[in-house]
Amino acid sequence: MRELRRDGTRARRGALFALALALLAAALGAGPASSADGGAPWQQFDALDSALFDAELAAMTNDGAALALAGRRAATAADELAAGFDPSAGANAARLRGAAVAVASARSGVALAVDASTARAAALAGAYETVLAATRADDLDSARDWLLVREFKPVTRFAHPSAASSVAIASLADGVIPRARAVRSIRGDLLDTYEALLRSSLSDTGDALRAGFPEKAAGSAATARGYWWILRDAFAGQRGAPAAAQLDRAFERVVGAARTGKAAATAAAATTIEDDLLAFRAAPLSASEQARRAGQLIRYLGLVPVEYGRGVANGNVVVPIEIQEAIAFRDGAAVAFGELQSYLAARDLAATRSVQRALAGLDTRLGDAERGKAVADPEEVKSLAKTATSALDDVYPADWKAGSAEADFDVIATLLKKVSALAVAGDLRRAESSRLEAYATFELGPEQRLRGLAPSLFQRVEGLFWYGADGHDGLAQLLRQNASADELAATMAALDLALKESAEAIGSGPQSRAAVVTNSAIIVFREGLEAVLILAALMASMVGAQRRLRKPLMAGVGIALVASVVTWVVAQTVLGSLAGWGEKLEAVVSLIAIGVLLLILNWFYHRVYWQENLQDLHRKKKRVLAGASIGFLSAQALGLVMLGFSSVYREGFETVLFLQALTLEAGAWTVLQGVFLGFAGVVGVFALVVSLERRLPHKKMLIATGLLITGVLVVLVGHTVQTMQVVGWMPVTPVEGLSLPFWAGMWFGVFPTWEGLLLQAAALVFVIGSYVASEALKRHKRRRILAAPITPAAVTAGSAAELPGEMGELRFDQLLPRERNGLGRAGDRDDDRSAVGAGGRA
Amino acid sequence: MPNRIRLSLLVGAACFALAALASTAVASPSRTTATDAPNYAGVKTYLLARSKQLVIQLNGIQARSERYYALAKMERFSYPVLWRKHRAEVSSILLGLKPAFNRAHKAYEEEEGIIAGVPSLAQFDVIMDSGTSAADDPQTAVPFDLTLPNGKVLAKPGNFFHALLEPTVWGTDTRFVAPGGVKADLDRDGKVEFGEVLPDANVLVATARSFVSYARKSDAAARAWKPNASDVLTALVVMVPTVEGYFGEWKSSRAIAGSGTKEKAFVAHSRLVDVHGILFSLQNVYKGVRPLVARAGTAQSARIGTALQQLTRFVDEIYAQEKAGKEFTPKQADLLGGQAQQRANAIAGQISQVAGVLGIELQA
Repeated sequence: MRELRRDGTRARRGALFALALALLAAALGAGPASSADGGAPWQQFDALDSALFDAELAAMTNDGAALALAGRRAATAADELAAGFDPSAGANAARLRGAAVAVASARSGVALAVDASTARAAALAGAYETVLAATRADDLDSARDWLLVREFKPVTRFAHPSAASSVAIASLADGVIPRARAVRSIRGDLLDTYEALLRSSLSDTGDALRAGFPEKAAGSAATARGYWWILRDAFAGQRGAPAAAQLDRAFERVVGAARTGKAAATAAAATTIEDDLLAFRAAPLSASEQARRAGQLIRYLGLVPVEYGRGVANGNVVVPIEIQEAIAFRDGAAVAFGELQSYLAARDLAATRSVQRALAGLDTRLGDAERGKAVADPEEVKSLAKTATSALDDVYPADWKAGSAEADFDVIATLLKKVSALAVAGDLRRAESSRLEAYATFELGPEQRLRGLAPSLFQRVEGLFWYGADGHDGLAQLLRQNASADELAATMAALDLALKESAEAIGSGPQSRAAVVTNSAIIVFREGLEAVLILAALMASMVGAQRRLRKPLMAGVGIALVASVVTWVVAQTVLGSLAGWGEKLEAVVSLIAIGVLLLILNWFYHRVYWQENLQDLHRKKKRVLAGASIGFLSAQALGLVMLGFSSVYREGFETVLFLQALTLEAGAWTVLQGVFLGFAGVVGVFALVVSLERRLPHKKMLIATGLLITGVLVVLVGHTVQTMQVVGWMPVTPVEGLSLPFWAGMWFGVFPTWEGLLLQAAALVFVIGSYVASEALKRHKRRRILAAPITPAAVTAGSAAELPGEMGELRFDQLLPRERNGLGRAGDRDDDRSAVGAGGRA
Repeated sequence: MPNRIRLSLLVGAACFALAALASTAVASPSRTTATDAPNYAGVKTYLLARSKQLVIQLNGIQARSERYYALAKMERFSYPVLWRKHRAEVSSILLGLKPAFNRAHKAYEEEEGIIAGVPSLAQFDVIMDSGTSAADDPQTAVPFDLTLPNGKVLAKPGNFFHALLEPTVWGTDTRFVAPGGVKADLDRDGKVEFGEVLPDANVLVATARSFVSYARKSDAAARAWKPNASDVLTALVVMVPTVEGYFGEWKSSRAIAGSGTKEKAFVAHSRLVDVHGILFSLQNVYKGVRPLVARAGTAQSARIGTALQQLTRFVDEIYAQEKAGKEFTPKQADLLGGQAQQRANAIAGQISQVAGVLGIELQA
């Protein structure tokens, strides 16, 4: 009775599972795939896949009937699928048919897993060959149909499956790309995919054995072997037929070992294959892709110790999120390393292993810190990153070291995604920190090239990072205001677009030689303009007794030019490290320039013109230069040296960096032509200003000089404020709703931030105010003097400098109304150049 | 007799297969033409309906939790006294919490494909359904701390559904069980079964209050969301392959690994229900975007639509068997999960192709 009940229970269980199988078959295989004519290739493949899966499920429950049924379905589907293969896929058609037929008679779960996986992989291999053949034959419909029978790399945090094959077919159909290029793209995309899957299948084999799933291990081994069939030609092409034959045998060994469940033998055979494949890349990366990955690897590695250092203090994790970021960057570096591994190994296997070990070491330490297991010293993490970067530095060819703008854009994109995620999560402090990191990456890399290739784009990107552009608020502003996700997304989208356009502008390189020459010339002209205007205005006014002041000014200019040339030479070798200091140094030198300029303005006008020049005129050289006589090392001379130096070097340093980047794009000679052109423009402006000023009556010349220098000061203040905002030394408060064109910033230093506009206004107010105050003082004193009795003796003998207060700055003839002092027109000759000149020369 | 059963079941299965075949043919996506416009509004309407439903269900949970907390407070958090004096009411509250949890979770799972897949909404998935505790994995931890009414703070305790509410209601996390060792036979069947516990009232009410607050924020974000091709295709590419994780959790849940498992979550119902919810929501998303996909190629559109339907049906059938009493072994669960994952990867890959051909950016 009990036996009967047991039989009944067993039968019910069997029936239940049969039901399950039928239901699953219905679920997976139903639809067009099971139609009589077999349908499209993807439907036939789905039918095969479902049948193979059902067979495995049946084998797992020892259901022989279900296995036989599924085997027959698999054989039919395989036959239909193989019949559609291109003749060049004959070997895989045979493998497919053979393995599918073997499914029905498989004697064990392990054997079945091998047969099922072999059939599936052979189907994919046949589809791969058929897609390529159809594309070569211009049968694009067929190529599209067969391209639906393929595998994909899994979706990861860093990448989605590539669409290169589909895009290539679409582009070929539209006549956008030639057939050969389409074939190359498809082949590259598919080989790249199957290579990645082969490596993960090998890894899965060992994992499954260790987990006690021998069927899964055997299936993974057979799948890896199937992917190898796809990659074999590429491997043989690179390494030769004997090496490929050796790997054929190695794959057979792995499958054989996995089939018998021998974990050690499987692992050993898998390791041999992994070693042989280490320096192999089925779909070679283009030179620019290699440089891009190389740049990513170095940049991500560089960020790991930075983030880790921020997250750890006194042996404890103090900011866990920084550790996570360090891990994210390490992972990014590992992905880039994986892509480059074969190239690196081919160049230097030992160094490649060293990088691999360092990355593994970082992985362990960062993981331990994250899990609270152990907190490594930041120096240790730094040292590991340094080990890797040093090894890479030894292995990298020169063109990889030159830097890849694409890699920079990748890093910027990664950081901006982080900004969005952090901002949306409400962590604005860290979002701002990531924004600054992204901007620093832009500033140190693409910006330099962009200035030469597409200057308006660089300013757009900069605006979107900071104070806004294109009708969108700046990222800095939005983060500070804790703006809504929509606003943030809008700016991010605009920034993303601007960065994409920038990448394209840099990627496509200089449009023409003329463009590079023009851009170089504009850079030199633009950067030199402020300096030359200051110098020209001052030089023009240094006539007569003040001619001597030209020497220290020109000495400063000379030193700055020499320093700029030295910077150029140094930049040739250490561009990256110099660029890191670029804007900070510019900010410091600009501040010095502003300070010195204000000092000089005050001193020059208030002392030199009024005191020296005009007193000199009246006192006939008596004390002309005695009091202000000036050795070269006097404070006055040093001030002028500094003015000359800071005016020129602040522009010189920046110009060198921009031109260096442009030199990389277009070659030194082309850039130099632009430099000469720009320099000629600068010299022309210099000569023009000097000449025009000299033609002016002296008084008007003084006014023109004052106005010119005031204008330059305002521009200088605008640029300096912007530079200080960019390096984070000054806050950024955009002016809501104000959008300024590119030229306003480039040529006039006017940017839509309150700090910039207010300080520019302040500079203007300062100069004008200073003038007005001085005038008011003069009027006040004039009234005082007019109120006092006047004697000719007092006038002729008295030195203005000896009068109390600011009388030293006043001209006597100005003190008296002409109708009252009776000195007539002769007193007005101070605006007569000949008189000044004569005085000066006497 | 057994043979007859077997025969009748096989006939039934064949009938089902035919029905499935017919339904697939009817639902064939090939009817979509390249000139149809994508229906993003439909996607949003679908989302908002679920989002609202989630808030409603969570309000119910909060109301019960507040009452439970008030009773516990009245008894100065002496749970034996609470149980002794308010047994009927406490039982009613706690028994009602479980189905309320399931309803709320169902509402969420049916919107999860969109919430977790759309980058601007994804943070709410971390908070409500997928984020770990900082102790488990800081990399994927939730961004909030939970402050209890008694002032205790649970730092980054994990997501609301599976790390807080479910373990609290079912008592799978001893930290959230009321002190006092009360054996609470809530259903009065004479046995204290799995899930019959008195939760810590402080944890329960704090969880409910905070959960409602975040659900409202999620609802507001969903209302503000402006669906577009990039968001919708990204949601599909990102979310379809997550079935592997769900199958992994199913494998380690009580349903497969038995009562010896260390897994504290996924006790309310089978994890397969959640997979169904996600795939159901993704099918609705796909329905909205299918005209767009068809522009890249009708065969591809058909391939994706069919594969999504088959994958959903595949999961549903496994769940149907589980519900009917079938006990899957870990090995079978692994095989089924592998198959589901293989198909999910293929769907995500095909959608990536569509995005590439149409020039639509997929977001990370």
